[in-house]
Amino acid sequence: MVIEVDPESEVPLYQQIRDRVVEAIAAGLLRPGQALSSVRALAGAFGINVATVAKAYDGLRRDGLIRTSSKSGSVVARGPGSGDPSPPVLADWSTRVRTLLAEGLAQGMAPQDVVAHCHAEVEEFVRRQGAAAAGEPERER
Amino acid sequence: MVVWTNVLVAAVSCVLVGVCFLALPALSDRTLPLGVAVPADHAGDRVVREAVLRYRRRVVVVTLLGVLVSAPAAGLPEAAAAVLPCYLVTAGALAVFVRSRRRITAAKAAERWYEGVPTRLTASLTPASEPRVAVPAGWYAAALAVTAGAAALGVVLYPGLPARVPTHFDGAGLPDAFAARSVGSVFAPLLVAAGLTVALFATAHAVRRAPVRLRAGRTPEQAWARVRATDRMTQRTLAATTLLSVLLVDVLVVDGWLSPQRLSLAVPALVVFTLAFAAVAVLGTLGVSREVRGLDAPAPGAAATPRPQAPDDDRSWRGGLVYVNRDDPSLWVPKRTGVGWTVNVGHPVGAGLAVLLLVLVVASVVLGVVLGG
Repeated sequence: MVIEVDPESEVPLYQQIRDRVVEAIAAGLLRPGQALSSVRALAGAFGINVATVAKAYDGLRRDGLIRTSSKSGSVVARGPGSGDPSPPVLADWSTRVRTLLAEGLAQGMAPQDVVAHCHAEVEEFVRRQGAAAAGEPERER
Repeated sequence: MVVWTNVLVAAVSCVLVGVCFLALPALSDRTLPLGVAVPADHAGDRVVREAVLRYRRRVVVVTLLGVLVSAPAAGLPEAAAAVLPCYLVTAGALAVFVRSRRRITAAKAAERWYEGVPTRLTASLTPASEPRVAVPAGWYAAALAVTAGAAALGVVLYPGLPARVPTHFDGAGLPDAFAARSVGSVFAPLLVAAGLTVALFATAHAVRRAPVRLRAGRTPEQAWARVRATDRMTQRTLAATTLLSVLLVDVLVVDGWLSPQRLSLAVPALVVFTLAFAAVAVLGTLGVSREVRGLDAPAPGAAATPRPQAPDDDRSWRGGLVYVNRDDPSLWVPKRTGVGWTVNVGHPVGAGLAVLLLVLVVASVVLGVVLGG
């Protein structure tokens, strides 16, 4: 499971790593119980500071998406169909969704286009979950 | 006294070193010509091709100089005579490398090759997601078997060996050091050969776990295929080098038992094995460069929009050779020139290792001259 981050992006590297992990879980490419590389190993594979990766993993842990134990390292803790999110996580997610949807409307998008866009993205994740479950190789988008 | 076998060994070693440096551009990623990071759409630029050509021409000149120096150097004490010309070629070729790449660096900066080029860092999020190339254990087993065979022969020959056995031979194959016949003095070289086999077998296993760095600019499958191509070359070269070195030691040891007055096989064995080493280096290079070039060829019907490239990280690579990155927690990183690993001098342990290596190189020359003289 290979991920890419943009070193020149305005989005901080730790945020990009976190986002790629979340997307991989949503697409079924990472499943509950699956092991992630250690913080040090991933930092070494990218050639970046350990603290950057640690910050990404901290965020994922706080959101309950991964859990870390001294025995098995960091493993994926959540996934599609693993139950409803906790109230604080849901509240945080709703806030960010509101801002994102607001951006679309503020930029002049028609309400039905905003909804259509959301629908298409969710559909795409569901399609990829099916493909991942069937063991098909990941197609590039 | 100039011993012509010493001249031969030094000259052939120079050629071996030269061949390795000549092979270097063929092993490198095409977006890392002479260790300079360039975006794919500039990898075939004229300035790049000319710099590589100039590098190769200069390496040939440096190698020839090393060969010429081999004759006068043979007058030096034995240890220095063997290593000094080699070190000269290595130092010269490194200087040529650093010099030749400057034009690429200059053109890249002047023409802003990376401006507007999207860049990405790539890494595997899950541990051991791809299998690495297996260690060819048969070669190491063969090396141990040959040494065991030599040891068995030694057991048979032992009663007939002279009371004082030769422990060292000069370049002409004449014994110049002796020890009382004992299990230690007779079998020590074979023990060293067996130890070498085990050590290189362990190294081969370390290579399987050695870190990889995936370069953006190709699909993950292509990036892993490249890792496997260089892994395969490393494993084959290690295995073949182990077997050849052990064969050489075993042949010379048995030769010493059978003809203690004067080695009969020293010169032919050295020539044959040096040629074999050169063949391993050349064949390995050709194999991996062919495989890698196949990977880099654009797939038919490839997307018109080029993939994001690996970022310009020349800052972390002094002279394209020495990796200094304090942020990077890796101690070992894949070499920029394609095959092998190098230490991160920005890592505290890496800095220590680099100093140790420098001390060893200097000491080998100084001690060779002082002690030999």
